[in-house]
Amino acid sequence: MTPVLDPEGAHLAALRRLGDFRARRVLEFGCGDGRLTVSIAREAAHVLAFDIDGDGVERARQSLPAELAERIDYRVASGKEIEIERHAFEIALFSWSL
Amino acid sequence: MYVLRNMIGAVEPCGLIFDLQVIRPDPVVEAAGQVVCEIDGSQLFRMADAAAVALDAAVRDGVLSEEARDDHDVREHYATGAELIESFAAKKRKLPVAAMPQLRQLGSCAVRDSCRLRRLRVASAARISVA
Repeated sequence: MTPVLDPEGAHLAALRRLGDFRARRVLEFGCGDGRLTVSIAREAAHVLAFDIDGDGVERARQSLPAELAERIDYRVASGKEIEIERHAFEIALFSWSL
Repeated sequence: MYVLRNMIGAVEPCGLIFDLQVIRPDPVVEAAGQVVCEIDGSQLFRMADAAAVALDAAVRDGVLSEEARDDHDVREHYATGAELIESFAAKKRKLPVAAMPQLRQLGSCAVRDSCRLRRLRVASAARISVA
């Protein structure tokens, strides 16, 4: 058995208290294994989620629900190197990553 | 901080930035609703403090404005204390040596971290160009 981070959904609840992701273009920096990404993508228009940890991103890709495949773009990249179009997103989320 | 500038540049003027970080006090190991021991969180706090300094500087410069904060606790659950010890062997932060015998005996347990979510709004294009 592996450790389970935040099964109570405290992070997601905090995000929902402070934000509204519905129909938004979201950039997630530090997505890890996509723990928050999938929940955000269920409401958002599109999520570009990236992390420097290639293993984490691979796990995220493997567990990506088919119905969200068009809505989430996972990438392996660092915050310094990733090339992102200017002003392309309405919301950016830094998950323990800045 | 180049990374922050890069990320802010990706967000449209008046868009939102959410920053999630660990905050003090030190995390604790819990079992059966009781605190078993504290964990030295200084490694993570150092990075979180640096991030907070960078964001605060962007606020001072008028590039971002802070709108809200949400402090909350997050738990990572382990089946046993042995699993917790094994998992921490690869982490930067270390479990206290004195607590190891007690931790090894634990069944289901969790590490509780305190976290802060900040909501910051990117300034209008005019303000960014001035800053």
